Amino acid sequence: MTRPLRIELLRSNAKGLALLLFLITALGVGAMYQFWWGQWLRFGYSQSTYMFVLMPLALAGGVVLGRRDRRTRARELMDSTGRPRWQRSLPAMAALGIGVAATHLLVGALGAVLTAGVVDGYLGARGFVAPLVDALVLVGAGWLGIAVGRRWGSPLLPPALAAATLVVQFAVQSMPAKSPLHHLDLMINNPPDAAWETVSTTALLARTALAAGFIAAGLLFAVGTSWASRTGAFGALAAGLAGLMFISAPGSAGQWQIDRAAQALVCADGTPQVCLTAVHAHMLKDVAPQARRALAALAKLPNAPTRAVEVRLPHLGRNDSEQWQLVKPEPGTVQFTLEIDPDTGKDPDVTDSIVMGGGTYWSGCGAPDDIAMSVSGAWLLGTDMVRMYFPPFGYLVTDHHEQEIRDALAALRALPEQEQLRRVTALRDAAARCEQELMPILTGEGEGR
Amino acid sequence: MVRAIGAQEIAPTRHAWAIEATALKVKAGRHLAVDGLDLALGTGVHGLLGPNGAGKSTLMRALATVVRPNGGTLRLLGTDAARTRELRRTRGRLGYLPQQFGYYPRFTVRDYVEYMAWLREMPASAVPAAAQRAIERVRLADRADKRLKSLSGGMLRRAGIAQAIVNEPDLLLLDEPTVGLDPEQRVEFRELIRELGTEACVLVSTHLVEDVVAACSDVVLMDLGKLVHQGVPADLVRLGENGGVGDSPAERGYSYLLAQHRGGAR
Repeated sequence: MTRPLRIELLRSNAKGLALLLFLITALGVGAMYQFWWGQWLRFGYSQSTYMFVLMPLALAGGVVLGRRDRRTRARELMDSTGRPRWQRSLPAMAALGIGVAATHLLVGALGAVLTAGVVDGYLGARGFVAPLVDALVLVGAGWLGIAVGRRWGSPLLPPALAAATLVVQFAVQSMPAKSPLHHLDLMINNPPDAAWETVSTTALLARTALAAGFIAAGLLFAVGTSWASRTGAFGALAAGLAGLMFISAPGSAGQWQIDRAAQALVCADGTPQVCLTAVHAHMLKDVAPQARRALAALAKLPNAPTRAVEVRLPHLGRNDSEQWQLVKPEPGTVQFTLEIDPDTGKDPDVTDSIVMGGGTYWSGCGAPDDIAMSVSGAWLLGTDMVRMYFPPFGYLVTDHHEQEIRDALAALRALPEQEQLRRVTALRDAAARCEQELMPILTGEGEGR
Repeated sequence: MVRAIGAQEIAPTRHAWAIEATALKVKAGRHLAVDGLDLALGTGVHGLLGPNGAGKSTLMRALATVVRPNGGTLRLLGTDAARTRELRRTRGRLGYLPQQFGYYPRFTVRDYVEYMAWLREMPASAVPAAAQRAIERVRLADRADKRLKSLSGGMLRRAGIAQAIVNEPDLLLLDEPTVGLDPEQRVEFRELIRELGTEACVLVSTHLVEDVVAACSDVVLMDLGKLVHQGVPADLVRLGENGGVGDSPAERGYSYLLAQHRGGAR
């Protein structure tokens, strides 16, 4: 079996198909690098969402290979040999399966190397399972294609089948999210909101069912000749598609779940303590000095926090920016989020964002008074301005309210030092109590109310 | 190259004829192409002659176990061709070159011959040497690593012959093997099949009467699915003296036999 397998790997279309799938995945995932750079779980999403085009191509590639005997009229010669039909099918099927699976796993491995090898990022075990399952889906699609190509020899079949599979996936996108048919689309329309979100068990099971259905149908169609095997093949295909439709759950909750290991805190050596989630732990070296500078600035205030920790959502992300400001910090802890600049891979505003409002920007109270918080932050740092980074929009608050902030900061600094300290402390305490009107505290307009 | 020989390979044969057909009927689609053929062929080179539509290729396909007989009996190397389960071992002792010789264009000659050796269930360890020997026997050693799609028609035919002989078959079926071969190659081919025919039953289906006369020890003539004549090539030459059309005595003998058969049939 080794020799014919080697020959098929070298001479069949398995090599070309594998190269095509690699190029499409590499180009697609590469185009999304700003989304996943340094984050293995997000890389997994980027790779997996291209299954909507990889699967039809694997199917079409299988049909091309399956048509080979008919196209070259080699079947008569093959039929005169002693090998049973199932053995005759093995080298070509194995070559195609190895080609498409190895390609998909290679891309996954490249992602792992880029994540762990280049930026020392987090690698979660579940992140390896998803490409493995998707690789099996591709193997099954290829084998199903071989079986189809053996039975129907039209040269139009490969492009027609690929196009039809794509059209079906686009068509079901317009269906209600709760419709089981919606899950036939392999494109993932709701990307993970938080970096620690990984593919859910239900999503993995659904795709595993599809892979099993494809593989069983492909084997039974390609190898079997009896009505029983053909019926079994149709049954397996139907079961696989049904599994994809009915095991999947709608929305983000059906697609993602929190990877607790990815969300676990990892703290930098030294004091004061600065902790990030494991998926961002590779950034600690850069973040910790900035966070400690912020903690030192906050120490000007009484009862200042002594620890800085990245905000962790207790639930799946809802693509809502305010959700990050609804998580209550532990006593003595200031929270912050990481907003990574895709061009540098770094968060440019760690210090500024922590000192906002005297450390209350992420205090569990929702959207705060950005201008008052910016004034207090700049006062604590002794700078003219704080700049909060909001990708992809940039420095929104500063850009729109710079003069307002400068004026308020100048007015604050014109006061006696003790009064400045008192007002900023009062602002911090009011913000911690979730009060919304903060600027009057700084200007003194709220005195006596 | 030394290899272990299994008991199966040195077991005595239990059949008198490599091919033994009695009242054989084989359909090509709905048409009964072989109609009540009686034939017994043993070791040697046998030429199968007949006009287009005589049923030669259908007979070859039945002998190659590609199609199942529709009537009568057919025994191949002692195995009843109707007993599908028992055919597997027999197929391993068969070599076949179909008239429309299918091949994978991207395979090299060596790939193709080795692949066919695997399909004919040769021991894996014996395949490389057997493939090399088969390629050398058809004089394609210098093209062994060329892709089939780059070969000329004659070279392709020789690659087809190489795959048919790679397992040193006991029953070798060659349907129009000399199509595309130049005169020199045809002479070499005749030498090859004469050599093969010393130990195996070689059946060569052809339109070229002179190939049969030059290379075969036995001539089988078919027309309209029936056996017209079986004898030695010298018979054709002798019968040619009685009339018939053609450029050589053998061709005249061939056409004379056909005319006699058709006259008798009317």
